[in-house]
Amino acid sequence: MSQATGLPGPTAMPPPRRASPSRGFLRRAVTQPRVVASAAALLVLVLVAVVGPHVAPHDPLSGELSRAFQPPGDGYLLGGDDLGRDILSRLLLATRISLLAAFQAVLIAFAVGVPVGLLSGYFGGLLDSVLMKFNDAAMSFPALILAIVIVGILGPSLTNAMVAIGAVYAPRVVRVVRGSTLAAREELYVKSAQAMGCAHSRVILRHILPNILSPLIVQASIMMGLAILAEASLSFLGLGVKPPTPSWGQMLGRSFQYLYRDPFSVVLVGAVISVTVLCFNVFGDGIRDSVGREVPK
Amino acid sequence: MLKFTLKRVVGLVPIMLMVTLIMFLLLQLTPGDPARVAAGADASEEMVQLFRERMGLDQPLLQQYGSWVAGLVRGDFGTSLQYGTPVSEMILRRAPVTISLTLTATILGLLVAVPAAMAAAYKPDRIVDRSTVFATTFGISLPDFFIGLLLVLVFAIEFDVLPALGYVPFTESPLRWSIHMILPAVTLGAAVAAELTRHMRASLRDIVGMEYMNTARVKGLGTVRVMGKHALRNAAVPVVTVLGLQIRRLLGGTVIVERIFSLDGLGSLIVQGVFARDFPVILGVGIVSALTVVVVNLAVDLSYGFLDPRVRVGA
Amino acid sequence: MTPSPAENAQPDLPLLRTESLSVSFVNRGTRTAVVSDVSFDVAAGECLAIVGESGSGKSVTAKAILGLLRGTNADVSGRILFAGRDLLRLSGRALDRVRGAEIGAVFQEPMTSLNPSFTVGNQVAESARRHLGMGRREAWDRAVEMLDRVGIANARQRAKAYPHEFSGGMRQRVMLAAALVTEPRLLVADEPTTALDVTIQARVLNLTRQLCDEMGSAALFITHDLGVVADIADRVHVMYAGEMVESATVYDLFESPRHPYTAGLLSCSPGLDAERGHLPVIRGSVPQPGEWPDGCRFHPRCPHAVEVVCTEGPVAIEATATGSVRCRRHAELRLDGVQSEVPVWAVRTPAGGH
Repeated sequence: MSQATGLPGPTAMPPPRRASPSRGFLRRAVTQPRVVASAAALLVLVLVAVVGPHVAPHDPLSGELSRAFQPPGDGYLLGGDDLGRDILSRLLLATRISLLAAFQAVLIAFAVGVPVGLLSGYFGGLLDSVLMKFNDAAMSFPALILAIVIVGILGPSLTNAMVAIGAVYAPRVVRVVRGSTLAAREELYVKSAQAMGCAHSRVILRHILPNILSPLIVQASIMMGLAILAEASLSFLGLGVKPPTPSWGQMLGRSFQYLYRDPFSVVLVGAVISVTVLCFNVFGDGIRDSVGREVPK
Repeated sequence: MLKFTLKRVVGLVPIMLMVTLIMFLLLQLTPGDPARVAAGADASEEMVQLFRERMGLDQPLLQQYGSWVAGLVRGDFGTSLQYGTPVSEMILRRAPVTISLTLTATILGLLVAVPAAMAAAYKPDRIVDRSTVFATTFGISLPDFFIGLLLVLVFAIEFDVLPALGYVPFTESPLRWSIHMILPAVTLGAAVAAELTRHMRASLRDIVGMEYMNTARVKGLGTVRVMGKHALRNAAVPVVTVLGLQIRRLLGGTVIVERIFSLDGLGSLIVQGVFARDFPVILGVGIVSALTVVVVNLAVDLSYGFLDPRVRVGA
Repeated sequence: MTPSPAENAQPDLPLLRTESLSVSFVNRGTRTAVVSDVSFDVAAGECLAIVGESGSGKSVTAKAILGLLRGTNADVSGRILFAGRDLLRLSGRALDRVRGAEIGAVFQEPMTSLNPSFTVGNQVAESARRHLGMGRREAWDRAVEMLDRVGIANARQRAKAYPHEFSGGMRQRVMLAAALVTEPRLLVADEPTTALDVTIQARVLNLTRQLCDEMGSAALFITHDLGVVADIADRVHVMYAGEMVESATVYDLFESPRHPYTAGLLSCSPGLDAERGHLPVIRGSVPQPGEWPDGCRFHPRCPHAVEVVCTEGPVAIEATATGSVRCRRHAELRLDGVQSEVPVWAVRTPAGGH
């Protein structure tokens, strides 16, 4: 910018500004009350997951049969389950396990989906066609059923459930990433970088990836909700975490068997799951709306 | 039109091939020797070899895949390792339950969504509209099993009005079939209704502002006919699209719902299969569900030609 | 619906009469007047044109008459008397018995005015079924007959086709058929030819006029195009900034306009006068609703405006020898009309009511 004297001073070239949708959207996002509210709730949840099991009053894995179905009170703040274990302590541990499992599943989905989506979208051609056919076929399976198939093949366990969920949701990530990559590929700054002879890897990492971050964050949030539901479903069916380890789904599944005797636990755990998923959805929606662009669900 | 249909039907083949490929590749991931797993931990070597041959595992991979797919095309989904019965038979026997469930859930969803969306679109920004938006957001976020469990609690346990389990075939007694279907169908249908209402309301809102709606009003046809004929007809395409997308959700949801309400459908079949490491059953149900989704989507695609005159190719 | 003998016995009651029609839109508490105090008559069988630029409120007036403002944020006051009954006071159901049966309408955009999901025949027939009590077969035949009458070749086959298979001009003919199938007493046409090719415009206009004459229907044409007015109207009303500023027969309006705005319009319209070289314009632009100036709403753009007389107080309508005008200086002004040797209209006597 030239000086106030009007003389043509040394004009510094402003750094090439990427049309970054990521910029500023965080600022806008924070102004929305629902984003703040859901983020706060989720933060509390994470806190519980981290700290909870350490401050649990009782051993979540074992209990006294004499206290089976004990109503809240006498040390068991939320009552006792069918084996006389403290529900509160179990719930605290279950929170950590479920959130961790969902997080790891989402990580797997992204670890697989992002590279595939980037490569497919960036290079196009035969690679893209084949990958997309594969992806479309994978997405023809109902998510839970495919997860059950994978767990069926690998054997029921929490780890396998996580892997299964991650694998099942990877195609969604591929779709989103590929879509954004296709759009970003056409941007002027990408084309100029290519014209300047930048290596593909550099173009992808430095120019394309930063600009698809916002839809990715939205997807991540929504996918956390989905992963939690998936883990809960699998564990509910007995295909996930192995007892006596508690997870939300596991507790739900167990309480369901004793629905007649203790409806309270069912409602409690169910509510916790629902609220968590709701928070992730609202958060993701809020971010998506702040970006202002059409982000594929 | 016929050529269009044929092209689409033929397009099914590559996708289904991919589906089978995915299933086959997953099968190769079985830890350890699938024959050994199937035969049991303490089976003798001969038993394991027998299982290996029976499962065709001694042939080269490509051949295995080929003969397996050939079998699928013929309708041969293999034999259950648990019961020794053909998997296709088991699937056919249990299919009516799952079909009943998904169909009734869809119909219930429609019955709720159409009037709700019409009401919301007709009188925008009033209490009806606001509460609809709220209800749908809420409905979409509640997981299926929570709704199901709550319903069981309220209707089956607290008030003992409706049964919480069991299935009565339609052919045996339509009345008892419907009574047993109510709670499960409502559980699944709630999510459908919420999603459908949301989309319908949005498209009806757009439609109501269209110029041809003014033409219809000015012809003095009356509100009922104007909304019911002119508006609804043009909302058919988005509705069908949403329903097509819902089938995936529904099929996944039946697994949980069948467990909650003790229904012997395909969902419980596959879960049993997992516990018994019964691979043919697991794969069989997996493929059938994928096939259903693909076929339903095809039907939706083809219906566009029927529903929207502008899409029709040629006369 | 046949008019009651009582209505027929009052020959001085016009078919359509608006009295002090005013329309305002209410948006979050703010009220914006769009049409103010518009009064006019349409006699049975006559063709009245309302001319104005966009923003003059002419389309809103048409919508008010057709009842399309119900259920919107529009506040309509005044009276709209159709065959003696106030359309604004009718219930929805009663209005629906009048619309389509006695009042037909054609709109501007042929591409979007027809429902893409139904056949053309269906959309013409539904009025016949609803208002003429015809069965499906009968109504369909009637629709085919009507389509043929509006000039659609091979009507019986084409009736089964869908709107997207027709061109713009053809679709407008379909609209016309749908509007006239019940032989309504009044046809309201809101810019029916604006979106059509110039070559088609004349044909559609003449067709419209011809059919109205044949059926004895009155027509209310809303347009911005003086050429259209010259072609088919008997009488004209000029609207500006939500008000009627002049009314007269076509002949009188074109030959000796009384309002400066009308004169300005006439001088701006290409083709009406063979003499002119380049096209004059009226300086300034049309004030939008909410920005209407005090006094005469045209005065900021009027070459004859005078302080105080034209700038203060609402200007009332005054009768003239040929019609009426809203201008305090009209008696003093001698305005140029269209100087032309060749009459721009076919010599017509105003169509009497049949």
